[in-house]
Amino acid sequence: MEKIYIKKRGFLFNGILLIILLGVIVCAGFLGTVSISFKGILSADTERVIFMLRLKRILLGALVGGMLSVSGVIFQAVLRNPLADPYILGVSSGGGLGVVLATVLGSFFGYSGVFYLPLSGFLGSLMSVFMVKYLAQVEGRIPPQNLLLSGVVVGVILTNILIFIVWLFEDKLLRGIIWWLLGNLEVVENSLLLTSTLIGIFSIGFSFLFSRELNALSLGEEEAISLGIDVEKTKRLLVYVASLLTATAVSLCGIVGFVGLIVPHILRFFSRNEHRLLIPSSFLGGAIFIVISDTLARTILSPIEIPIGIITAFIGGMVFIYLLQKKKKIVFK
Amino acid sequence: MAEEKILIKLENLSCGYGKRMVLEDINFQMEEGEFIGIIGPNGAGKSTLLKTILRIIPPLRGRIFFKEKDISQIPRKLLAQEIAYVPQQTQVWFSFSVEEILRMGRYPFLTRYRGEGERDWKIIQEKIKLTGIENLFLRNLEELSSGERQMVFITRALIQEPKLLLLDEPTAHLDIGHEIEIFDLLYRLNREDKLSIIVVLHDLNLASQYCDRLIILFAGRIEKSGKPQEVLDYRTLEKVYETVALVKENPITQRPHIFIIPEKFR
Repeated sequence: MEKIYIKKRGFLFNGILLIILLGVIVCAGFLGTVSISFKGILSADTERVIFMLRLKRILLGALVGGMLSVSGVIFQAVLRNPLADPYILGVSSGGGLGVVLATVLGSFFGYSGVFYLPLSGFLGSLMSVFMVKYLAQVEGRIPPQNLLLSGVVVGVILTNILIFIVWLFEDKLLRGIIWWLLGNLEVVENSLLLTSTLIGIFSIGFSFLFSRELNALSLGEEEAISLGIDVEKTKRLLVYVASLLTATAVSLCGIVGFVGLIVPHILRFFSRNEHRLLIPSSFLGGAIFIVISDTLARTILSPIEIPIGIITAFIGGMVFIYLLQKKKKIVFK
Repeated sequence: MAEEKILIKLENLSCGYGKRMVLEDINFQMEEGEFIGIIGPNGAGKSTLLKTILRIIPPLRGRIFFKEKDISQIPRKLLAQEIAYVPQQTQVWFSFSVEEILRMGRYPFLTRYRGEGERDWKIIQEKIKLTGIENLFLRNLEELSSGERQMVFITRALIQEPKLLLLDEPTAHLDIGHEIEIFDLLYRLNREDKLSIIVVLHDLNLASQYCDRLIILFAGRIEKSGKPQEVLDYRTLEKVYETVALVKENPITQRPHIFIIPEKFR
Protein backbone atom coordinates (compact mmCIF):
# COMPACT_ATOMS: atom_id res chain seq x y z
CA MET A 1 0.00 0.00 0.00
CA GLU A 2 2.85 2.37 0.84
CA LYS A 3 4.66 1.87 -2.40
CA ILE A 4 1.50 2.76 -4.25
CA TYR A 5 1.33 5.92 -2.20
CA ILE A 6 4.75 7.17 -3.24
CA LYS A 7 4.36 6.16 -6.88
CA LYS A 8 1.00 7.87 -7.16
CA ARG A 9 2.37 11.03 -5.59
CA GLY A 10 5.28 11.03 -8.03
CA PHE A 11 3.18 10.51 -11.14
CA LEU A 12 0.68 13.13 -10.11
CA PHE A 13 3.28 15.75 -9.30
CA ASN A 14 5.42 15.20 -12.37
CA GLY A 15 2.30 14.97 -14.50
CA ILE A 16 1.17 18.39 -13.33
CA LEU A 17 4.64 19.82 -14.04
CA LEU A 18 4.61 18.31 -17.52
CA ILE A 19 1.24 19.88 -18.28
CA ILE A 20 2.45 23.26 -17.00
CA LEU A 21 5.58 22.95 -19.16
CA LEU A 22 3.59 22.16 -22.29
CA GLY A 23 1.25 25.08 -21.55
CA VAL A 24 4.16 27.44 -21.01
CA ILE A 25 5.84 26.29 -24.23
CA VAL A 26 2.72 26.92 -26.29
CA CYS A 27 2.10 30.33 -24.70
CA ALA A 28 5.74 31.33 -25.20
CA GLY A 29 5.46 30.37 -28.85
CA PHE A 30 2.71 32.91 -29.40
CA LEU A 31 4.37 35.72 -27.45
CA GLY A 32 7.05 37.93 -28.94
CA THR A 33 7.90 40.96 -31.01
CA VAL A 34 6.05 39.60 -34.01
CA SER A 35 2.59 38.69 -32.91
CA ILE A 36 1.33 35.39 -34.13
CA SER A 37 -2.21 34.16 -34.26
CA PHE A 38 -3.30 30.56 -34.25
CA LYS A 39 -4.90 31.09 -37.63
CA GLY A 40 -1.65 32.56 -38.91
CA ILE A 41 0.32 29.41 -38.16
CA LEU A 42 -2.08 27.36 -40.19
CA SER A 43 -2.17 29.71 -43.16
CA ALA A 44 0.54 32.35 -43.42
CA ASP A 45 4.00 31.10 -44.27
CA THR A 46 5.97 33.84 -42.51
CA GLU A 47 4.05 33.42 -39.30
CA ARG A 48 4.58 29.70 -39.37
CA VAL A 49 8.32 30.08 -39.98
CA ILE A 50 8.65 32.51 -37.10
CA PHE A 51 6.63 30.22 -34.86
CA MET A 52 8.80 27.23 -35.69
CA LEU A 53 12.00 29.23 -35.10
CA ARG A 54 10.62 30.42 -31.82
CA LEU A 55 9.61 26.90 -30.88
CA LYS A 56 13.13 25.65 -31.54
CA ARG A 57 14.50 28.35 -29.31
CA ILE A 58 11.96 27.51 -26.60
CA LEU A 59 12.83 23.82 -26.72
CA LEU A 60 16.51 24.73 -26.50
CA GLY A 61 15.71 26.79 -23.41
CA ALA A 62 13.75 23.94 -21.88
CA LEU A 63 16.67 21.58 -22.43
CA VAL A 64 19.19 24.00 -20.93
CA GLY A 65 16.97 24.73 -17.94
CA GLY A 66 16.41 21.05 -17.25
CA MET A 67 20.10 20.22 -17.51
CA LEU A 68 21.22 23.05 -15.21
CA SER A 69 18.56 22.20 -12.69
CA VAL A 70 19.41 18.49 -12.52
CA SER A 71 23.08 19.43 -12.32
CA GLY A 72 22.24 21.54 -9.26
CA VAL A 73 20.35 18.65 -7.65
CA ILE A 74 23.38 16.39 -8.04
CA PHE A 75 25.86 18.93 -6.65
CA GLN A 76 23.58 19.58 -3.69
CA ALA A 77 23.28 15.90 -2.81
CA VAL A 78 26.93 15.02 -3.31
CA LEU A 79 28.19 18.04 -1.36
CA ARG A 80 25.33 17.81 1.15
CA ASN A 81 24.72 21.52 0.79
CA PRO A 82 21.40 22.99 -0.30
CA LEU A 83 23.16 26.13 -1.55
CA ALA A 84 25.38 24.31 -4.05
CA ASP A 85 24.74 25.23 -7.66
CA PRO A 86 26.89 25.02 -10.80
CA TYR A 87 27.00 28.81 -11.04
CA ILE A 88 27.89 29.48 -7.40
CA LEU A 89 30.48 26.67 -7.42
CA GLY A 90 32.28 28.23 -10.38
CA VAL A 91 31.52 25.22 -12.58
CA SER A 92 29.67 27.33 -15.13
CA SER A 93 32.59 29.74 -15.36
CA GLY A 94 34.99 26.83 -15.83
CA GLY A 95 32.76 25.47 -18.56
CA GLY A 96 32.52 28.91 -20.16
CA LEU A 97 36.29 29.29 -20.16
CA GLY A 98 36.65 25.86 -21.73
CA VAL A 99 34.18 26.72 -24.47
CA VAL A 100 35.76 30.11 -25.23
CA LEU A 101 39.29 28.68 -25.33
CA ALA A 102 38.07 25.92 -27.62
CA THR A 103 36.38 28.44 -29.90
CA VAL A 104 39.58 30.51 -30.15
CA LEU A 105 41.79 27.47 -30.78
CA GLY A 106 39.19 26.02 -33.12
CA SER A 107 39.12 29.09 -35.30
CA PHE A 108 42.94 29.23 -35.34
CA PHE A 109 43.20 25.70 -36.59
CA GLY A 110 39.94 25.62 -38.45
CA TYR A 111 38.63 22.74 -36.37
CA SER A 112 35.12 22.00 -35.20
CA GLY A 113 33.21 18.82 -34.44
CA VAL A 114 29.88 17.97 -32.88
CA PHE A 115 31.35 16.99 -29.51
CA TYR A 116 34.10 19.61 -29.60
CA LEU A 117 32.45 22.46 -27.68
CA PRO A 118 30.55 20.39 -25.06
CA LEU A 119 33.65 18.34 -24.29
CA SER A 120 35.93 21.37 -24.02
CA GLY A 121 33.38 22.90 -21.69
CA PHE A 122 33.36 19.64 -19.72
CA LEU A 123 37.14 19.78 -19.26
CA GLY A 124 36.87 23.39 -18.12
CA SER A 125 34.11 22.49 -15.66
CA LEU A 126 36.09 19.58 -14.22
CA MET A 127 39.09 21.83 -13.79
CA SER A 128 37.04 24.27 -11.76
CA VAL A 129 35.48 21.45 -9.69
CA PHE A 130 38.94 20.19 -8.73
CA MET A 131 40.16 23.70 -7.97
CA VAL A 132 37.18 24.38 -5.72
CA LYS A 133 37.54 21.04 -3.99
CA TYR A 134 41.26 21.58 -3.41
CA LEU A 135 40.73 25.06 -2.00
CA ALA A 136 37.80 24.13 0.23
CA GLN A 137 39.25 20.96 1.71
CA VAL A 138 40.46 20.94 5.30
CA GLU A 139 41.85 17.60 6.50
CA GLY A 140 39.73 15.64 4.07
CA ARG A 141 36.51 17.42 4.99
CA ILE A 142 34.77 20.22 3.15
CA PRO A 143 33.05 22.70 5.49
CA PRO A 144 30.04 24.29 3.76
CA GLN A 145 31.23 27.87 4.18
CA ASN A 146 34.62 26.99 2.65
CA LEU A 147 32.87 25.37 -0.26
CA LEU A 148 30.78 28.42 -1.11
CA LEU A 149 33.69 30.79 -0.63
CA SER A 150 36.05 28.73 -2.80
CA GLY A 151 33.36 28.38 -5.43
CA VAL A 152 32.84 32.12 -5.62
CA VAL A 153 36.60 32.81 -5.71
CA VAL A 154 37.29 30.23 -8.42
CA GLY A 155 34.29 31.51 -10.35
CA VAL A 156 35.55 35.10 -10.24
CA ILE A 157 39.09 34.12 -11.26
CA LEU A 158 37.96 31.98 -14.17
CA THR A 159 35.40 34.54 -15.31
CA ASN A 160 38.12 37.18 -15.44
CA ILE A 161 40.50 34.97 -17.38
CA LEU A 162 37.58 34.42 -19.72
CA ILE A 163 36.95 38.15 -20.03
CA PHE A 164 40.65 38.69 -20.72
CA ILE A 165 40.61 36.17 -23.56
CA VAL A 166 37.46 37.72 -24.95
CA TRP A 167 39.10 41.15 -24.77
CA LEU A 168 42.15 39.83 -26.68
CA PHE A 169 40.23 38.20 -29.49
CA GLU A 170 36.90 39.92 -29.58
CA ASP A 171 37.42 41.74 -32.86
CA LYS A 172 38.53 38.83 -34.97
CA LEU A 173 37.42 35.52 -33.62
CA LEU A 174 34.75 35.97 -31.02
CA ARG A 175 32.13 38.17 -32.53
CA GLY A 176 29.06 38.52 -30.37
CA ILE A 177 30.68 36.62 -27.53
CA ILE A 178 29.64 39.08 -24.82
CA TRP A 179 26.08 38.43 -25.83
CA TRP A 180 26.68 34.70 -25.45
CA LEU A 181 28.45 35.13 -22.10
CA LEU A 182 25.44 36.72 -20.50
CA GLY A 183 23.28 33.85 -21.55
CA ASN A 184 21.73 33.71 -24.94
CA LEU A 185 19.25 31.37 -26.51
CA GLU A 186 19.75 32.52 -30.08
CA VAL A 187 19.19 29.38 -32.05
CA VAL A 188 22.34 27.28 -32.29
CA GLU A 189 23.48 24.95 -35.03
CA ASN A 190 21.38 21.85 -35.42
CA SER A 191 24.29 19.47 -34.97
CA LEU A 192 25.27 21.02 -31.62
CA LEU A 193 21.64 20.98 -30.50
CA LEU A 194 21.31 17.30 -31.42
CA THR A 195 24.55 16.30 -29.65
CA SER A 196 23.58 18.25 -26.59
CA THR A 197 20.12 16.70 -26.46
CA LEU A 198 21.70 13.27 -26.56
CA ILE A 199 24.19 14.16 -23.83
CA GLY A 200 21.34 15.62 -21.78
CA ILE A 201 19.10 12.58 -22.09
CA PHE A 202 21.95 10.21 -21.33
CA SER A 203 23.20 12.15 -18.31
CA ILE A 204 19.81 12.75 -16.77
CA GLY A 205 18.81 9.12 -17.26
CA PHE A 206 22.09 8.11 -15.68
CA SER A 207 21.55 10.30 -12.63
CA PHE A 208 17.98 9.04 -12.29
CA LEU A 209 19.38 5.50 -12.03
CA PHE A 210 21.53 6.77 -9.16
CA SER A 211 18.53 8.10 -7.21
CA ARG A 212 19.00 5.70 -4.32
CA GLU A 213 22.66 6.62 -4.00
CA LEU A 214 21.77 10.31 -4.15
CA ASN A 215 19.23 9.82 -1.37
CA ALA A 216 21.74 8.09 0.86
CA LEU A 217 24.54 10.54 0.07
CA SER A 218 22.41 13.55 0.89
CA LEU A 219 21.73 12.00 4.28
CA GLY A 220 25.39 11.36 5.14
CA GLU A 221 28.51 9.77 3.73
CA GLU A 222 29.22 7.37 6.55
CA GLU A 223 25.69 6.07 6.43
CA ALA A 224 25.90 5.70 2.67
CA ILE A 225 29.03 3.57 3.12
CA SER A 226 27.34 1.44 5.76
CA LEU A 227 24.48 0.82 3.33
CA GLY A 228 26.98 -0.67 0.90
CA ILE A 229 27.61 2.27 -1.42
CA ASP A 230 31.11 2.80 -2.78
CA VAL A 231 30.94 6.47 -1.86
CA GLU A 232 34.17 7.74 -3.43
CA LYS A 233 33.48 6.12 -6.77
CA THR A 234 29.83 7.14 -6.82
CA LYS A 235 30.58 10.73 -5.89
CA ARG A 236 33.24 11.02 -8.56
CA LEU A 237 30.89 9.62 -11.21
CA LEU A 238 28.06 11.92 -10.21
CA VAL A 239 30.27 15.01 -10.15
CA TYR A 240 31.43 14.12 -13.68
CA VAL A 241 27.84 13.81 -14.83
CA ALA A 242 26.80 17.09 -13.18
CA SER A 243 29.80 18.88 -14.71
CA LEU A 244 29.00 17.44 -18.13
CA LEU A 245 25.41 18.68 -17.85
CA THR A 246 26.53 22.16 -16.85
CA ALA A 247 29.20 22.31 -19.55
CA THR A 248 26.79 21.21 -22.25
CA ALA A 249 24.28 23.83 -21.18
CA VAL A 250 27.03 26.47 -21.19
CA SER A 251 28.20 25.49 -24.65
CA LEU A 252 24.63 25.92 -25.88
CA CYS A 253 23.72 29.22 -24.37
CA GLY A 254 26.46 30.73 -22.26
CA ILE A 255 26.37 31.30 -18.54
CA VAL A 256 22.86 31.21 -17.14
CA GLY A 257 23.11 31.35 -13.38
CA PHE A 258 21.10 30.22 -10.38
CA VAL A 259 18.75 27.84 -12.19
CA GLY A 260 20.28 24.86 -10.40
CA LEU A 261 19.81 26.59 -7.07
CA ILE A 262 16.28 27.91 -7.03
CA VAL A 263 14.41 25.33 -9.05
CA PRO A 264 15.41 22.32 -6.92
CA HIS A 265 14.93 24.37 -3.79
CA ILE A 266 11.33 25.20 -4.60
CA LEU A 267 10.64 21.62 -5.69
CA ARG A 268 12.03 20.18 -2.47
CA PHE A 269 8.97 21.60 -0.74
CA PHE A 270 6.73 19.45 -2.89
CA SER A 271 8.56 16.34 -4.01
CA ARG A 272 10.85 16.44 -0.96
CA ASN A 273 14.33 15.03 -1.32
CA GLU A 274 13.43 11.66 -2.76
CA HIS A 275 15.54 11.81 -5.92
CA ARG A 276 13.36 9.45 -7.90
CA LEU A 277 10.82 12.27 -7.85
CA LEU A 278 13.21 15.18 -7.58
CA ILE A 279 15.26 14.46 -10.69
CA PRO A 280 12.36 14.32 -13.16
CA SER A 281 10.59 17.21 -11.48
CA SER A 282 13.77 19.30 -11.48
CA PHE A 283 14.16 18.73 -15.17
CA LEU A 284 10.59 19.84 -15.81
CA GLY A 285 10.80 22.72 -13.32
CA GLY A 286 14.08 23.97 -14.76
CA ALA A 287 12.58 23.85 -18.24
CA ILE A 288 9.53 25.85 -17.10
CA PHE A 289 11.71 28.42 -15.35
CA ILE A 290 13.95 29.04 -18.36
CA VAL A 291 11.12 29.17 -20.86
CA ILE A 292 9.34 31.78 -18.75
CA SER A 293 12.57 33.74 -18.16
CA ASP A 294 13.37 33.67 -21.86
CA THR A 295 9.90 34.88 -22.76
CA LEU A 296 10.37 37.75 -20.31
CA ALA A 297 13.78 38.47 -21.84
CA ARG A 298 12.23 38.67 -25.29
CA THR A 299 9.16 40.69 -24.41
CA ILE A 300 9.86 43.10 -21.52
CA LEU A 301 11.80 45.62 -23.64
CA SER A 302 10.54 44.40 -26.99
CA PRO A 303 11.84 44.71 -29.66
CA ILE A 304 15.12 44.84 -27.68
CA GLU A 305 16.13 41.52 -26.19
CA ILE A 306 17.66 41.25 -22.73
CA PRO A 307 20.23 38.46 -22.18
CA ILE A 308 18.44 35.70 -20.29
CA GLY A 309 21.34 35.31 -17.82
CA ILE A 310 20.47 38.75 -16.47
CA ILE A 311 16.87 37.71 -15.82
CA THR A 312 17.76 34.43 -14.10
CA ALA A 313 20.56 36.04 -12.10
CA PHE A 314 18.16 38.72 -10.91
CA ILE A 315 15.42 36.31 -9.85
CA GLY A 316 17.95 33.78 -8.57
CA GLY A 317 19.92 36.34 -6.62
CA MET A 318 16.78 37.44 -4.82
CA VAL A 319 15.87 33.88 -3.91
CA PHE A 320 19.44 33.19 -2.82
CA ILE A 321 19.42 36.17 -0.44
CA TYR A 322 16.11 35.00 0.93
CA LEU A 323 17.49 31.49 1.50
CA LEU A 324 20.58 32.83 3.21
CA GLN A 325 18.45 34.84 5.58
CA LYS A 326 16.25 31.88 6.34
CA LYS A 327 18.95 29.24 6.59
CA LYS A 328 21.72 31.31 8.10
CA LYS A 329 21.46 29.42 11.32
CA ILE A 330 21.99 25.93 9.95
CA VAL A 331 24.24 26.63 7.01
CA PHE A 332 26.77 28.85 8.73
CA LYS A 333 26.85 27.12 12.06
CA MET B 1 35.54 -27.94 19.41
CA ALA B 2 33.88 -24.70 20.41
CA GLU B 3 30.29 -24.54 19.34
CA GLU B 4 30.16 -20.77 18.93
CA LYS B 5 31.48 -19.54 15.66
CA ILE B 6 33.81 -16.61 15.38
CA LEU B 7 31.92 -13.74 13.77
CA ILE B 8 34.53 -11.06 13.61
CA LYS B 9 38.22 -11.08 14.32
CA LEU B 10 40.67 -8.20 14.46
CA GLU B 11 44.28 -9.14 13.83
CA ASN B 12 47.07 -6.72 14.81
CA LEU B 13 44.81 -3.92 13.74
CA SER B 14 46.07 -0.34 13.79
CA CYS B 15 43.71 2.38 12.79
CA GLY B 16 43.50 6.13 12.59
CA TYR B 17 43.32 9.01 10.16
CA GLY B 18 46.12 9.42 7.65
CA LYS B 19 49.33 9.64 9.64
CA ARG B 20 47.62 10.02 13.00
CA MET B 21 47.38 6.59 14.59
CA VAL B 22 44.57 6.31 17.10
CA LEU B 23 44.61 2.61 17.92
CA GLU B 24 47.63 0.35 17.73
CA ASP B 25 47.90 -3.39 17.44
CA ILE B 26 44.37 -4.31 18.45
CA ASN B 27 43.52 -8.00 18.68
CA PHE B 28 40.15 -9.35 19.61
CA GLN B 29 37.50 -11.67 18.39
CA MET B 30 33.77 -11.79 18.77
CA GLU B 31 31.59 -14.85 18.78
CA GLU B 32 28.20 -15.03 17.17
CA GLY B 33 25.44 -13.79 19.44
CA GLU B 34 27.63 -11.67 21.71
CA PHE B 35 26.58 -8.25 23.03
CA ILE B 36 29.77 -6.21 23.37
CA GLY B 37 30.14 -2.73 24.77
CA ILE B 38 33.13 -0.58 23.89
CA ILE B 39 33.93 2.03 26.51
CA GLY B 40 36.78 4.40 27.24
CA PRO B 41 37.53 8.11 27.59
CA ASN B 42 36.95 10.67 24.87
CA GLY B 43 39.39 10.29 22.01
CA ALA B 44 40.31 6.72 22.93
CA GLY B 45 39.33 5.57 19.46
CA LYS B 46 35.94 3.94 20.07
CA SER B 47 34.27 5.46 17.03
CA THR B 48 37.44 5.02 14.99
CA LEU B 49 37.31 1.29 15.67
CA LEU B 50 33.69 1.07 14.49
CA LYS B 51 34.47 3.08 11.38
CA THR B 52 37.37 0.82 10.53
CA ILE B 53 35.21 -2.30 10.86
CA LEU B 54 32.63 -0.64 8.58
CA ARG B 55 35.34 0.28 6.06
CA ILE B 56 34.50 3.95 6.39
CA ILE B 57 38.21 4.49 7.03
CA PRO B 58 40.88 2.04 5.88
CA PRO B 59 43.01 0.26 8.50
CA LEU B 60 46.58 1.51 8.79
CA ARG B 61 47.88 -1.96 9.52
CA GLY B 62 46.52 -5.41 10.27
CA ARG B 63 43.38 -7.13 9.10
CA ILE B 64 39.74 -7.65 9.98
CA PHE B 65 38.01 -10.93 9.30
CA PHE B 66 34.26 -11.39 9.07
CA LYS B 67 33.31 -15.06 9.19
CA GLU B 68 36.93 -15.90 8.37
CA LYS B 69 36.93 -13.71 5.29
CA ASP B 70 39.09 -10.60 5.04
CA ILE B 71 36.55 -7.75 4.96
CA SER B 72 38.61 -5.75 2.48
CA GLN B 73 37.87 -8.57 0.02
CA ILE B 74 34.09 -8.55 0.59
CA PRO B 75 32.12 -6.36 -1.85
CA ARG B 76 30.55 -3.42 0.01
CA LYS B 77 27.00 -4.42 -0.78
CA LEU B 78 27.51 -7.94 0.54
CA LEU B 79 29.12 -6.52 3.67
CA ALA B 80 26.09 -4.26 4.14
CA GLN B 81 23.88 -7.36 4.10
CA GLU B 82 25.83 -8.64 7.10
CA ILE B 83 26.80 -5.55 9.09
CA ALA B 84 24.49 -2.61 9.77
CA TYR B 85 25.34 0.68 11.45
CA VAL B 86 23.46 3.19 13.55
CA PRO B 87 25.54 6.38 13.54
CA GLN B 88 25.69 9.03 16.22
CA GLN B 89 22.92 11.54 15.74
CA THR B 90 24.12 14.02 13.18
CA GLN B 91 22.74 17.09 11.53
CA VAL B 92 20.33 16.26 8.74
CA TRP B 93 20.59 18.72 5.84
CA PHE B 94 17.94 17.26 3.62
CA SER B 95 14.86 15.91 5.26
CA PHE B 96 13.26 12.66 4.18
CA SER B 97 10.07 10.92 5.17
CA VAL B 98 10.38 7.95 7.50
CA GLU B 99 9.24 5.73 4.64
CA GLU B 100 12.10 6.92 2.45
CA ILE B 101 14.63 6.41 5.24
CA LEU B 102 13.43 2.88 5.92
CA ARG B 103 13.49 1.94 2.25
CA MET B 104 17.18 2.80 2.16
CA GLY B 105 17.71 -0.20 4.43
CA ARG B 106 16.92 -2.50 1.52
CA TYR B 107 19.56 -0.86 -0.67
CA PRO B 108 22.13 -3.68 -0.28
CA PHE B 109 19.60 -6.18 -1.65
CA LEU B 110 18.48 -4.24 -4.71
CA THR B 111 20.05 -3.87 -8.10
CA ARG B 112 20.07 -0.68 -10.09
CA TYR B 113 17.18 -1.77 -12.27
CA ARG B 114 15.05 -3.59 -9.71
CA GLY B 115 13.19 -1.80 -6.93
CA GLU B 116 11.72 -3.20 -3.74
CA GLY B 117 9.75 -6.38 -4.26
CA GLU B 118 7.08 -8.17 -2.24
CA ARG B 119 9.67 -9.65 0.13
CA ASP B 120 11.39 -6.33 0.77
CA TRP B 121 8.12 -4.69 1.76
CA LYS B 122 7.28 -7.60 4.02
CA ILE B 123 10.58 -7.18 5.85
CA ILE B 124 10.03 -3.44 6.19
CA GLN B 125 6.56 -4.04 7.67
CA GLU B 126 7.92 -6.70 9.99
CA LYS B 127 10.68 -4.54 11.42
CA ILE B 128 8.36 -1.56 11.85
CA LYS B 129 6.12 -3.73 13.98
CA LEU B 130 9.12 -5.05 15.89
CA THR B 131 10.35 -1.59 16.90
CA GLY B 132 6.84 -0.20 17.29
CA ILE B 133 7.10 2.78 14.96
CA GLU B 134 4.00 2.08 12.87
CA ASN B 135 2.61 5.51 13.72
CA LEU B 136 5.72 7.28 12.38
CA PHE B 137 5.68 5.72 8.94
CA LEU B 138 4.20 8.63 7.00
CA ARG B 139 5.79 11.40 9.06
CA ASN B 140 8.85 13.42 8.10
CA LEU B 141 12.20 13.17 9.79
CA GLU B 142 12.31 16.81 10.90
CA GLU B 143 9.03 16.47 12.80
CA LEU B 144 10.31 13.65 15.02
CA SER B 145 11.80 13.90 18.49
CA SER B 146 15.39 12.68 18.95
CA GLY B 147 14.13 9.46 20.50
CA GLU B 148 11.74 8.72 17.65
CA ARG B 149 14.42 9.57 15.12
CA GLN B 150 16.87 7.19 16.68
CA MET B 151 14.23 4.44 16.61
CA VAL B 152 13.79 5.07 12.89
CA PHE B 153 17.50 4.66 12.23
CA ILE B 154 17.65 1.50 14.34
CA THR B 155 14.69 0.14 12.37
CA ARG B 156 16.48 0.92 9.12
CA ALA B 157 19.55 -0.96 10.35
CA LEU B 158 17.33 -3.96 11.19
CA ILE B 159 15.73 -3.79 7.75
CA GLN B 160 19.21 -4.60 6.40
CA GLU B 161 18.76 -7.97 8.19
CA PRO B 162 22.30 -7.90 9.54
CA LYS B 163 24.17 -10.54 11.49
CA LEU B 164 26.09 -7.83 13.29
CA LEU B 165 24.76 -4.46 14.43
CA LEU B 166 27.17 -1.63 15.24
CA LEU B 167 25.89 1.36 17.19
CA ASP B 168 27.77 4.54 18.04
CA GLU B 169 26.32 6.02 21.22
CA PRO B 170 22.75 5.35 20.20
CA THR B 171 21.28 7.07 23.25
CA ALA B 172 23.65 10.02 23.58
CA HIS B 173 21.04 12.77 23.74
CA LEU B 174 18.08 10.77 24.95
CA ASP B 175 16.24 10.81 28.25
CA ILE B 176 16.38 7.81 30.53
CA GLY B 177 13.04 6.43 29.31
CA HIS B 178 14.10 6.32 25.66
CA GLU B 179 17.51 5.03 26.71
CA ILE B 180 16.00 2.01 28.45
CA GLU B 181 13.48 1.47 25.66
CA ILE B 182 16.25 1.27 23.07
CA PHE B 183 18.53 -0.94 25.14
CA ASP B 184 15.70 -3.29 26.09
CA LEU B 185 14.97 -3.63 22.40
CA LEU B 186 18.63 -4.35 21.61
CA TYR B 187 18.75 -6.90 24.40
CA ARG B 188 15.65 -8.67 23.05
CA LEU B 189 17.09 -8.72 19.55
CA ASN B 190 20.29 -10.14 20.91
CA ARG B 191 18.65 -12.90 22.96
CA GLU B 192 15.71 -13.81 20.74
CA ASP B 193 17.03 -13.23 17.23
CA LYS B 194 20.69 -14.02 17.97
CA LEU B 195 21.71 -10.62 16.63
CA SER B 196 25.32 -9.85 17.48
CA ILE B 197 25.81 -6.32 18.74
CA ILE B 198 28.75 -4.00 19.29
CA VAL B 199 27.84 -0.72 20.91
CA VAL B 200 30.05 2.26 21.72
CA LEU B 201 28.97 3.81 25.00
CA HIS B 202 29.87 6.57 27.38
CA ASP B 203 27.40 5.61 30.06
CA LEU B 204 29.23 2.93 32.07
CA ASN B 205 26.15 1.84 33.99
CA LEU B 206 24.19 1.27 30.83
CA ALA B 207 27.12 -0.71 29.46
CA SER B 208 27.36 -2.75 32.61
CA GLN B 209 23.65 -3.60 32.70
CA TYR B 210 23.20 -4.72 29.13
CA CYS B 211 26.50 -5.96 27.67
CA ASP B 212 27.89 -9.47 28.05
CA ARG B 213 31.38 -8.23 27.52
CA LEU B 214 33.04 -4.86 27.84
CA ILE B 215 36.16 -3.67 26.09
CA ILE B 216 37.90 -0.66 27.56
CA LEU B 217 40.00 1.31 25.10
CA PHE B 218 42.67 3.50 26.59
CA ALA B 219 45.80 5.17 25.20
CA GLY B 220 45.49 3.47 21.84
CA ARG B 221 45.19 -0.05 23.22
CA ILE B 222 42.69 -2.44 24.76
CA GLU B 223 43.11 -1.79 28.45
CA LYS B 224 40.83 -4.56 29.61
CA SER B 225 38.30 -6.92 28.13
CA GLY B 226 35.84 -9.23 29.85
CA LYS B 227 32.55 -9.47 31.73
CA PRO B 228 31.36 -6.23 33.34
CA GLN B 229 32.19 -7.68 36.78
CA GLU B 230 35.78 -8.33 35.69
CA VAL B 231 36.37 -5.07 33.91
CA LEU B 232 34.66 -2.43 36.00
CA ASP B 233 36.69 -2.00 39.14
CA TYR B 234 37.65 1.25 40.78
CA ARG B 235 41.35 0.89 39.97
CA THR B 236 40.75 0.58 36.26
CA LEU B 237 38.25 3.45 36.28
CA GLU B 238 40.65 5.67 38.19
CA LYS B 239 43.43 4.93 35.75
CA VAL B 240 41.38 5.32 32.59
CA TYR B 241 39.11 8.23 33.47
CA GLU B 242 41.42 9.91 36.04
CA THR B 243 38.63 10.29 38.53
CA VAL B 244 37.43 8.64 41.70
CA ALA B 245 34.49 6.27 41.53
CA LEU B 246 32.83 3.72 43.72
CA VAL B 247 31.69 0.40 42.27
CA LYS B 248 28.82 -1.49 43.92
CA GLU B 249 26.53 -4.26 42.80
CA ASN B 250 23.09 -3.44 41.47
CA PRO B 251 20.90 -5.38 43.94
CA ILE B 252 18.45 -6.55 41.27
CA THR B 253 20.68 -7.33 38.31
CA GLN B 254 23.85 -8.28 40.21
CA ARG B 255 25.82 -6.21 37.71
CA PRO B 256 28.35 -3.60 38.86
CA HIS B 257 27.07 -0.06 39.26
CA ILE B 258 29.34 2.98 39.27
CA PHE B 259 28.77 5.82 41.70
CA ILE B 260 30.49 9.10 41.02
CA ILE B 261 32.27 10.82 43.90
CA PRO B 262 32.43 14.62 43.70
CA GLU B 263 35.67 16.26 44.73
CA LYS B 264 34.39 17.64 48.04
CA PHE B 265 33.78 14.10 49.35
CA ARG B 266 37.15 12.68 48.48
